[in-house]
This record gives sequence, structure tokens and C-alpha cells, in this order.
Amino acid sequence: MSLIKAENLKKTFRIYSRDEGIRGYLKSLVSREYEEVHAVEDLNLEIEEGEMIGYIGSNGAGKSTTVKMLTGILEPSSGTVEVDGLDPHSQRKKNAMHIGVVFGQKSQLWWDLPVRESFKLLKEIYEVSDEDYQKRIDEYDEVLQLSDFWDQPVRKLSLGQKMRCELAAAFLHQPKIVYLDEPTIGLDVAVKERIRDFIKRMNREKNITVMLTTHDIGDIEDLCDRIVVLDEGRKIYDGELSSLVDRFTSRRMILDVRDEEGFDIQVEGVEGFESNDGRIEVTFDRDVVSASDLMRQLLDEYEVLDFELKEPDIEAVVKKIYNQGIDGE
Amino acid sequence: MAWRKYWEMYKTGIKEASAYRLMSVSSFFSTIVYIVLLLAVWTAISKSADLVGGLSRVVSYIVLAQVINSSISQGLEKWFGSKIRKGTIVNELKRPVSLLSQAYLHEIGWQSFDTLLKSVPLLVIGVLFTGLELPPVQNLLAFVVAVVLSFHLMLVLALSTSMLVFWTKTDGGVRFTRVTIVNFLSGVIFPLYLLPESLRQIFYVLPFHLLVDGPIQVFLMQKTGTEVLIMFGQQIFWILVFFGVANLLWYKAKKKLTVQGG
Repeated sequence: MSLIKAENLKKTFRIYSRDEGIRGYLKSLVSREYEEVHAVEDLNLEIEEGEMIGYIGSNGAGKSTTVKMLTGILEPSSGTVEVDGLDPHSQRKKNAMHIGVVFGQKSQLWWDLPVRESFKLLKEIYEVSDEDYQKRIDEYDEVLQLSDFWDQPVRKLSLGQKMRCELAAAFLHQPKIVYLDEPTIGLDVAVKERIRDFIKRMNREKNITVMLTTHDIGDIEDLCDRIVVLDEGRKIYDGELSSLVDRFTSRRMILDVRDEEGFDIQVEGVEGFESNDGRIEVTFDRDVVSASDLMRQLLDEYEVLDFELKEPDIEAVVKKIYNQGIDGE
Repeated sequence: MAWRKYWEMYKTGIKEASAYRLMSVSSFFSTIVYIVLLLAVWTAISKSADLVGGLSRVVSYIVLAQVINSSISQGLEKWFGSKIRKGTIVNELKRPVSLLSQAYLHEIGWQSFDTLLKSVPLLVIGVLFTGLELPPVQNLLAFVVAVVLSFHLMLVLALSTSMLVFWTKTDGGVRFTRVTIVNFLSGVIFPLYLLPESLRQIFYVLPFHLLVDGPIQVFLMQKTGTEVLIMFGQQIFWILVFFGVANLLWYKAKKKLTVQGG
């Protein structure tokens, strides 16, 4: 049985609009017009125990809204969700015992209290035993180095320190599933690495399922085998990261040839070429023509001074999907 | 053990309040200034009019009203307002504890700190400098019970108005309205016993007099034992009513909750 199962999940918001200027304001006092925004539409999703899923999409695609429905914070407009056999909205408190959540831009720690106090309170809220608590804090401290600022009030922490705390807090009760909504936003490379290490470790050692929304391609490459892409509330891709990349990018070969003007290649599998600063970029479909066959033919016809084979660029893939949708229209 | 989480949440409220102890201290001093001003006004009034029971009764009433008010006044709408506007309310909603209990315990914790820092010293000052007389122990105990109940009544009232912030999105107006109505009708601004009979009857039908005027009467020994018990009953009744209102409004708010962005 899947740990998370969503069927035809839908969330519609009403957004009130008004005309410009003072007139618009006055008019809005009497009658208000609204439009319906479909934040999430007909989402079907199944996640198995122990998976690490990257949930991506441009700003406003409906990622956070999905997470808020899965965690029970928002009630779906229609459709059903089941998380570990529970309905997260109507059984919110029960469900909350088995999940951990980080909202990257909304810290859950108690602003004026030392870090230690926030954790003490969370320990009681999630009913963690003294023994487990001590063991886990020591363990998390090893990777996240919390003791550096354990006694400082949260308001004095840097963003990176705060996020390390947030992560530790989400995993404190070793829940079945952890939702991370943009956990690496605004962090430097070193902190990102530490946080990714921690997430990987929790997933591998404790078999904690992780669902991660992010705009950081590094997070996805490093952590997720499976990704789900959302666009305007609809799921447009669900599968392995590598096959998305394969499907979406042609391989590219960059050539430096002596006679740039006369370059014109007619080989099956080549999708096109363009010349750029004296270098020629050839894009080709790997399934039709292999790089070595292509190279052989090129060397027969032209004097190639130098060449370079470009690996597919995940960031470019994602950008392309955000701009054009999955069909590329 | 379930009670431990509630106890820890209560203690967190105290710890948070103590982080802002300067705020409590400064509001203590502004209350003193306020009392001095009120006393000046009432002294002037007493020169030109006959006050029922004389000036000293008014003075005791005003001082006690501030003692009680310092124990029961609240800013729960603000707590909700900032969380709703910033969207951080998601953090309360992701925890395995109901939203209303989290708000409730936080406020009780915060207020126990303020009571110790403001109300108790105010009472001592009142006794030392304004001729306020302490009642016998059993009346004093009844007074404490009345204030505790009054505190909870104010809390569920503020909890109900706080739920409106889910619709208004700003807490200022809601809070101001609640505080103004309560201050006017409860006895914080003027002694209710000075009202003409017909008006007084209206005031005593509403629940607000139970917040301040009621406990004052207990302190000043103007109620018999039975009357005190009846008042406790009325306080409990209204606590349950507003608790129901708050829950009903939260049930409605939950349905229309939108937490957008980020």
C-alpha cells in the first residue's frame, strides 16, 4: 500500500479583484468581483514508503498548496488524500504525530527563546521519550552542528543556523514522512551540502519518506530519484529524473572547425546546428545517431580542430519546462 | 503523557513573556499614571456632586479595576493577526495539538507572568497609598477565584474575536472594538454602581460586568456567600458560551482558510 495516495485532488481559491483607483476601492465596498484560481487540479499522486521525491514547478504552480493539503492544513476543494491510512484534514492531529514539516520561509521556532527551549517544547508536543530525545539530539548535532548555537535565542541566529534547527526539529520525532518546502532557499553552498547530507542520512538510515519542493536543481540531482513536475496546478511529469532529462534534451556537441563558412551537415539524427563565436554547436538525437558515428562522419568531411561533448543540463531542462510546458508547445 | 505537552506549552508562554519583561514593567508604570489621573478626575467630580458611598468607595473601585484589568487584559487578536498575515499559522496547524489550545496555553502562561509583575504590586500600592482595605482571608480567596474565572471569560471572548481575524486579515480593528466594549461595560472606566437604576439593569444583563465589577464586589464584601456562588456560576456559564462560539467560528474559518505563497 502506498504511504501517500491522492486522487483527483483539487484546490480552488477565490481571489477578489477590484478596479483601479479610488472608484475601484469604493465600488469594492458594495460589490466585490472574484475570480476562481485553480491552485491544484486533478492531481493523482502515489508515494511509497522510503521514497525521496522532488516536487518541482515554477512559482505559483501549486507545490506549497499540495503540501498544505497533504499535511492537513488546507481542506481540498474536492478529491481525496490518504496519508498512512489517515485523512490528513479531518484527522489532522493524529496525522500530525507521524509527519514532519519544514516551511522554508516560515520558521516554526520560538523567536525569543533559546534553541534548546524550542526543542524541549517540541519533544513534549511529539511525545518523544527522554532517552530517544538525547540520542537523537546527539546524532543530529554531529551532522548539523547544533551545539554551536544551542543556547542562543532564535532571533540571533543566521538563516543557515535557523534552517539547520528547522531540519532537526522536523525529524525530531522520526516521523514516517517529512515534507520539506524549499528547505535550502537562500542558503550558502556549505550549509546546503550539510542539509542535503542530513536528509540523505535520515532517508537511508531511518527509511523516512521525504517529499521535497525546491527550485534548487542541486537538491534534486543530489537527493531525488523520482520527480514530479507541476505546472499551473497540473501534474505534467512523474518519473525518474534521468528519463526526463533524456526525453527533453538532445545531446550537444561543440566543434571548432577551420572552415566555418562552409559547414553544412546532413546526417540522420542531427537536429540542427548553429554557429556561435567561431564555434559550431550541433544538437543530435542520441537514439538515432551515436556520438562516435557522428564524430566519424564529421572528421571525414571537415577539419575539426577541437570538440567537446556537452552533458545534458538539468537546469536548462527545468527552465524549458517552466517556460513551455512538457510538450514544448 | 499528554498533560506534559500542555504544561510545557504553558511554561513556554511564561518564558516568552519574561523575554519582554521590560514591556510589562513599562505598562505597570503607565497604569499607575492612569490611576493617578482617574483619581484626580474623581476628586474634582466629588467636589461638585454627591457620590454614592463617597469618594473613598470610588477610589477603591478604580484601583481594584486596574488590578483586575492588569490580570485579565489580553492581546490574543494580535497573536493571531501576525500569524495569519505572515502565513506562519501553518506551523501551529502542522502540530498534533489543536490551534485553540495552543493559543490558550500560550496566553495563560504569558498572563501568569504579567499578573505577578503587575497586578500584585498594584494591589500592594493600592493598600499602602490609597486606603484600600484588604478583606478577610475567605473573601480574598473568593476574589482570587473570581479573577481567575474572569480571566478565562476574557480569554474565550478574545478567542472568539480572534477568529474574526481570519476574515478581516487585520487584528487592529477587531481588538480595538472588543477592548472598548469591554472597558465601557465591565467597570474599567467608571464604577457601574454610579449608573442610574434603569441603565444599571441593562449593564447587569450583559456578561461583561462579570469581568471586573463582579470581582470588585467580592473584594469589597458587597456580596453574600450565596451571591458569590451564583456569580461563579454565571461566569462559568458565559465561559462555556464563548468557548462554544470560538469553536464554531474556528470550524467555519478552517473551511475558508487560505495560506498562500511561500
